[in-house]
Amino acid sequence: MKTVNCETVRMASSAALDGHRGALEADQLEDHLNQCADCRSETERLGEFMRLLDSQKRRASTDQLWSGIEARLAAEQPEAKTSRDHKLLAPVGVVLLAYKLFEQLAARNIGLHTKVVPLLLVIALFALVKENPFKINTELRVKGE
Amino acid sequence: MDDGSAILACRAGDRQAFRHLVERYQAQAIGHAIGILGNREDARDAVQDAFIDAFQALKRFDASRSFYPWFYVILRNRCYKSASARSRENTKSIEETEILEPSARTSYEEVLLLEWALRRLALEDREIITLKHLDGLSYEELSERLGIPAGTVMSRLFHARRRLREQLTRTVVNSQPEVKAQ
Repeated sequence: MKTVNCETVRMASSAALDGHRGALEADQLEDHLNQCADCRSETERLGEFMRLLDSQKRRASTDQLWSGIEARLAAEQPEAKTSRDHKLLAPVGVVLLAYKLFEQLAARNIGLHTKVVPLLLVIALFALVKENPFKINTELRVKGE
Repeated sequence: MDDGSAILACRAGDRQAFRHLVERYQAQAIGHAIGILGNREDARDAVQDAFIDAFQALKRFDASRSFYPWFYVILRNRCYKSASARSRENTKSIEETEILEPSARTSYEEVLLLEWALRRLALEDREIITLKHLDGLSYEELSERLGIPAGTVMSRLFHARRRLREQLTRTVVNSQPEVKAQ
């Protein structure tokens, strides 16, 4: 039979006390414990210590966190909206630029109907972000304030 | 309201629905954060930060899973980040327990000694010991919660318990001057 060292036995004993099989078979562990008084007493002490730990409970908390979390979520919301608006502005900007190039390159008169396109795009953008461009925004904050 | 409905409502932008999740899990989360950080004040801040992170990450949450194990990963990250930011040892005297609940089964002095020894442990050791012995998690659950293989759970528990016993012995031998029993 392969000889096993005490450290391996103690780790296997620790797992066995938790109800798991460690690196050793049960009979290997038992044989070693029968022969080694140090490991036997160490295993007994560990078992006693684990029973002490198992008899403990976590201290219950009565702290209420919602008001603080709610305030922080409310403070962070306008920033989230701004980043969403930036994402919407980028494709509209690209479309407007493409339109301007088309207007510059076109050899013929593109007509009044086509010239209204940029204005319609800007109105659609404000409608999409639900923002009134003629209203003074009293909630405007400097970032990092 | 169940967790699933609350999460769906939160994803639709309903902040009040998030209140359900906070109130349902705050006590458990604070207990776990104290188990990692070793003190209530830092634990409260870490839990608050973790809930904010969770609210912002809810869109990525797989609704077929339970909320708390997912949230625990976020909380754990917050606790470790908080601990590395303060990087000071928790050596102040203890007059009352924060991790352990005093009970009739163990003398108050013994609970204080155990609490003191737990607070002197490294975060990883304290976390695995409290999850195993105070919450009764199995090796499989510990493996999932901590993101480590079951074999590693076994060796980490072995070494953590050994260090806790050494700490306890040292505290008793030094006649625990900092521990003030009531």
